[in-house]
Amino acid sequence: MFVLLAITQTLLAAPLVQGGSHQPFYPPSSGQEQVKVEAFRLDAAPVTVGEYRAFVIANPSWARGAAPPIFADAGYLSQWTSPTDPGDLTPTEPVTGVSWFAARAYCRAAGGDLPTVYQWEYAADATADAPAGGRKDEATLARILAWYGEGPGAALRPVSQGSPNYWGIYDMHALVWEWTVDFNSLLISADVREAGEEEDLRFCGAGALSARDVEDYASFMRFALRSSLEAAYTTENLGFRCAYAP
Amino acid sequence: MRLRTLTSVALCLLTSQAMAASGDAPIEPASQASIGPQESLALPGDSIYHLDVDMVDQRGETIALSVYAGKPVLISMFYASCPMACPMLIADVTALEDKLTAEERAGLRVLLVSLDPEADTPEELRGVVERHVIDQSRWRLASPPEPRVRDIAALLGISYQAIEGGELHHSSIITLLDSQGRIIEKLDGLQQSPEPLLQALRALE
Repeated sequence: MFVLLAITQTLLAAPLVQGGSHQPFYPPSSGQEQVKVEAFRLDAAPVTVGEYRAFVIANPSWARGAAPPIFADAGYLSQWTSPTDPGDLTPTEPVTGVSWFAARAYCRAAGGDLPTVYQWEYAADATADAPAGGRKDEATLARILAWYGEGPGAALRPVSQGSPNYWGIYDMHALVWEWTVDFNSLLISADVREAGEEEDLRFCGAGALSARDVEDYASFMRFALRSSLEAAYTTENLGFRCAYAP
Repeated sequence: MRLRTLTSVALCLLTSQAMAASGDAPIEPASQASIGPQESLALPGDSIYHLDVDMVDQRGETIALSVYAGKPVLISMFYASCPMACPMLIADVTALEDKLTAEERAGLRVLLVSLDPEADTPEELRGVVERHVIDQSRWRLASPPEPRVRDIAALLGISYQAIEGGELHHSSIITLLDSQGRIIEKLDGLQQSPEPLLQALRALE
C-alpha cells in the first residue's frame, strides 16, 4: 500500500515529458546536430528542503557531518542549524547546498536519477503552451537573464509558484541552478584528437566546440556553470530535481 | 580560451555567496556513509575508496574500487574499443612505469576502469591486456556496473560523453592515489610530463 502510494505520488509529482528531437546547445560532435530524447518523467519542481530533510532522516549516512568530504564539501547543508534541522529555511523552498553525489543518492533512493543535460535542457525549452521554443523566445530569455543578473543573495521562494510550462513543470528557470547527472560530459574533444597536435589540447578542444546559437546566452551560462562544477561542490544557489523512467 | 574565462566567471557567480556563507563553517568529522565505505578500513574522509562498487576484472573476478588499498595506485578510465586515446593512455602509464626502479615498480599498482562496461566484458579486457603486454600481477582492468561509471568518473574529475557510432569522448587523466585512496597528483591530458607524478609517488615512500 505504501509503495503504491509512493508510486502514485511520484506520477503526480513528476509529469511525463514526451520524447522528441533536441538540438543541443553544444552538439556532441560536428555532424550531429540533433539528439533523440526518449520519453521520461521529471519532477514538477526542484526537491525541497522538507523533502530533503525526510531523505536525510531516512538515510543518516547523508546527514551533514556523516557524508565524507569526498562526496560533499564543507558547505554541505551548511545553512541548516543541525544535521536534521533546516532552521529558518522554509520546507517548501528548494534545497540547495547539496553536492552531486548527495543529489544523485536522493534521486536513486526515489527510484530515479538526476536528469541528463539533454533531458534537462529539453524539458526547460518548453514554453507555457509549446513543448519547445523557449530558447528562441525573447521574453523567456529576458526573464532568465534578469535572474542571472540578480546574483546570489536573495532568499529562495517556495517552489511551484507561478505557472508551469507545457509539460506541467515549474521552476526550470529563475529559481535555482540544478545538477544534471552528466554535468561533466561537456568536453572537449582533446582526447579524441590525432596524436601530435599542438599543445593546450584540453582548451583547444573546448574552444573548438561550436555553440549552436551564440545569441542564446542563457544556455551558454548554464553550460559554462556546469563545466565549472566538481561533484563534491555545494553552493547555496545550486539545487536539483529527479528524472524517472516513463 | 574564451570558454574557460567565461566558465570562471560563472563559477565566481555561483560560489561567491557560498564562500561567504560557509567560509568559517566548522569542518565536521567525517564518519562512514552507507553508500560508500569499506567497513573494514578506517578511511580518511577524502579517500575515493568510500565509493562502494563491485567491478569485474579481466579475469572475471569481482573486485572493489579499493582492491589495491594499502599500496599507491595509478588509476584512470578507458574503454577497450577506443581507437586512439586509450592506447595512448596505456602507453603513457607504461612509459611512466619505465622511469621507476624495479623496486618502485613492484610497490605500485595500476587500475584502469572501463567507461563502457556493457561492451567491456572480461574477454574484451583480456584482449587489451594481451595487446599491450600488461603485467597482470600489478594491473587490473575492470568494468563497474553502468550506473556507477559516472560516480567513479566524478571522483576522478573525468568527463565523458557518448557520441554517435559507439565512441566516447573522454578526458584522459591519470591519478595517483596513496595507500588509503586519497588523490595525491594527476596527469591531466595525454603525453604530459610524468615528473610531477613521479615526484609525488617517491614522496609517498
